[in-house]
Amino acid sequence: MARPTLVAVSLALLASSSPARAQEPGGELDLFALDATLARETTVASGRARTVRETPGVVTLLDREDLLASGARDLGDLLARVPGFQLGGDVMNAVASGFRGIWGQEGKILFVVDGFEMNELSYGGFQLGNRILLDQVERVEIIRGPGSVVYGGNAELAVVNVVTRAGSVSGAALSAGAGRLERATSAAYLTGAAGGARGEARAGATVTVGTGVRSDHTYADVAGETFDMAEASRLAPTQVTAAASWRGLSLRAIYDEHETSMRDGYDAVSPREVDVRWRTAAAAASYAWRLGERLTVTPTLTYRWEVPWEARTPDLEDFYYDVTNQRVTGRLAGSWAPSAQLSLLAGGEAYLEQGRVNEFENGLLSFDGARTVTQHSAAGFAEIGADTRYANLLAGGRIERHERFGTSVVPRLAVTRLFAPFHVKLLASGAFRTPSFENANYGVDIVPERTRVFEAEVGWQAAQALYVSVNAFDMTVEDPIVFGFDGGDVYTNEVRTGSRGLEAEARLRAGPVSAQVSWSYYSARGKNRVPAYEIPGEPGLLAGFAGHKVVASAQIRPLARLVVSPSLVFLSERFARDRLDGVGELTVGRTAPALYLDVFAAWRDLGVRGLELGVGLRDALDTDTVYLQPYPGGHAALPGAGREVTLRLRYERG
Amino acid sequence: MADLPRLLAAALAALFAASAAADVLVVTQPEVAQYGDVLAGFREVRPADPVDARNEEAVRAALARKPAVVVAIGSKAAALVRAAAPAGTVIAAGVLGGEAARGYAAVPLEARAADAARALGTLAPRVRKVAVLHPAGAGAAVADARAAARAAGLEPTFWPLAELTDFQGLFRRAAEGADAVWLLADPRLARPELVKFMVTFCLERRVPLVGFLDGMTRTGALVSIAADFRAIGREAAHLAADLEARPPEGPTPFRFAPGKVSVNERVREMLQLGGAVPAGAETVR
Repeated sequence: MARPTLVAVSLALLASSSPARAQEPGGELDLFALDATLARETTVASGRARTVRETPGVVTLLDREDLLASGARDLGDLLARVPGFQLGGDVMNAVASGFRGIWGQEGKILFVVDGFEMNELSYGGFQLGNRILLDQVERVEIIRGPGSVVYGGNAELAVVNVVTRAGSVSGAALSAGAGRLERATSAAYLTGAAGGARGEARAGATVTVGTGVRSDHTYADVAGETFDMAEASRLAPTQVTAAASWRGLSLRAIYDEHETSMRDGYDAVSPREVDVRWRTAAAAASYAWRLGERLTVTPTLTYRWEVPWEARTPDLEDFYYDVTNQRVTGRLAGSWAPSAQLSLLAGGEAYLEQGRVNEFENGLLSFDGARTVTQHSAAGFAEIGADTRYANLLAGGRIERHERFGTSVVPRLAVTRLFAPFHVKLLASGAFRTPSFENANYGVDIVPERTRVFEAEVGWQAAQALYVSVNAFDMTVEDPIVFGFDGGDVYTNEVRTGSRGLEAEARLRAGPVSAQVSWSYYSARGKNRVPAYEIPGEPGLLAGFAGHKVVASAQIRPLARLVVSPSLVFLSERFARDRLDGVGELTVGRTAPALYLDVFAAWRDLGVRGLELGVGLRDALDTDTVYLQPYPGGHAALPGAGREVTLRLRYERG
Repeated sequence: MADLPRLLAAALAALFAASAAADVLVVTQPEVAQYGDVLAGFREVRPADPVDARNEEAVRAALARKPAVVVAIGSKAAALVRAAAPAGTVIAAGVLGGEAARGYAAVPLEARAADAARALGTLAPRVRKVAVLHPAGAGAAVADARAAARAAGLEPTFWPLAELTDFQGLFRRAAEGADAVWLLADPRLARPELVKFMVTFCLERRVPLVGFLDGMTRTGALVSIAADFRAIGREAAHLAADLEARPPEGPTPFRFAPGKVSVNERVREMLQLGGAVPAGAETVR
């Protein structure tokens, strides 16, 4: 795809700003229409609405104000500060997330953007770094726990749901940002959003283009070969999202391109820089069909096209990958609230997907010798919620029949009780992960992973300004799909992995200061039986991830238009098989505990109403981010950015 | 014979009504249901033979007859009447009390603030500090809210909304430190995504939210005081009679009609405010 120029995008957005503004509701006729819209939309929502304290899950909600004030640039930055999440390094300059000590790449953590599942279908992963820029995001909802009952096969450990501004922006907004490392520009981007409503119709879109690098440090592979990442670790995002709605009809679309370059390869440094990119396009239509006051049926049809890990390098066969995947999904969900105390969500979902080797004739790729692989799956799900005088109860389950991998059944039970100022949640969930195309292609009698998660949370609103919560978890993944190498890539089901631990959070709001402190702890002692993830002498730790993470952040508003946001992240020591011993075998290395300090300040209405200038210093202590590979793939630690000066300029009308 | 006094009274009333009707001109858009309700309320008090605002010729001809009072229902009707600059007194009814009613007497769409203050006091007797968000320029509605809040023992802080740039930030600042948030009528705030944001923010912090649409209550506002269109019509008829009898000497008067009160029972239970549902309020869950 030809990259749209920044100028063209700017002009398009500015051109669209006036009509959008003209459509701003202002008279009583608009008010009548909006009242009708609210009344229709929210009959369902009010029947099932839950606050964070009552919702049957351990969740983190971050709205636009949180996102902008944080100074975090992209989704990866944000996840690094969320309890339970840590980032790890994969191959080919890819970085992804782990959760509660378990590597979440390859389909264990579901990423959703505007309702579209973004995990690629070849391996199930989602790469982070200069991707999903937060300037374009309305809110992020994170379920810190499984979501397979509702979301299906990739929501095994957690769900990260991103809602962009396409569905909510009113007027027009432009932002530009940049980050400068000592020797390279880490990020330079431009985003725009425009949209508005007229009566019951609304439409909006967002555009993001940018470029940058992962690091300006030197990468050294396990054999000591090096290259300069300032020259070959590009991360260039392009994203367009669009949303339109009229009455019950909703249309959505997304194009997401994550273009990178790399020389780190799988293990040894590549002889030259290789471009790798992920491209996804998807569209969906749904209609919320109200059948009376208490019943709504919503059919949704989604089409998705993608080219993941695209590296057209026939001369470097190890990196070569050129496959197009497609999936069509139909979903029918019914929401029924027969009384104020009872609610039922039930439905069915089916998909048909295909993977296709684009250049089959060159003989470099195949699906078990064939050019294409096609498979389908069908699922039914139901959740029933009952509010009793003693507690809110929820029971549900999903049964999914996959053409190749058989039937998976996952139950879910939740008991929540709010007795102000306290709340309690007891949660038990099953989850599963269906093997991806390449898991099956390189797998040996591969079967789906099955996960059990037990969670308990206690919260205390100690005062209007102070909220504290603690949750304990126990996660067990049976038959985990594990990557190995025996002369070629191979995936096998191992016996079991998992972790247990605690996460605690405190939130304070007092006058012009908001502050949050969280502590995350996991231990794999007695849970993990995958040798590849073990760290000898450290039975509590899993490869790549620190046992303790502490995050402290604050938003201080000394003036009405000024917000200063310091944040501190501490990671305890980490271990990974990222170096060679004296006989050339991979051995465990230790990465020392690390402390990262970021400071960001933003000044609103700077001379012009709607104009905001933000400046920041990331990794102010110059600790240097390091991403460890959480499995023994032969990849050395991947350097991230060090100290970085950031700038953000944002203008919004509407 | 016993019916004779009643027949005479009816005949006199009809005669009086006919003469009164001749001095009051009503202009409206009959295709808008809400305006139809305003007209119905007006007719509960006195007869009216409205002129359709879509027929500009008819409006001009009716205004040429120099009625003593012109009642314009809806902003389009008010704009038409304003363009003709009639000699008589003009009442704008069922309009948002900002620009459309400028310089006119009015019974605006905004409900009487005393109803909101009273409802909040009944539902949440411990509430004192109230953040009041209002459109910039809504002077009459703000004055009404200030007086009603103080009469109810509340301590209001007023937050004008000129533009919605960084609305979420402003809303946070307004809500922090307040015992409740009270929204005066502003169509810009009725967008579903903004309502959901405000509701979520207030529920998470256990702050009661007072809205201005039934839909807001259904979404999760504790209580809303929405326009009662028939009450607006009745109030406009009374105001017309008063102005016929005595044209205003000073600034043209605004009169706020009573509103319809709706309460979200689920939210009330969740917030545990210690109060009661106001008498006559509709409840939703």
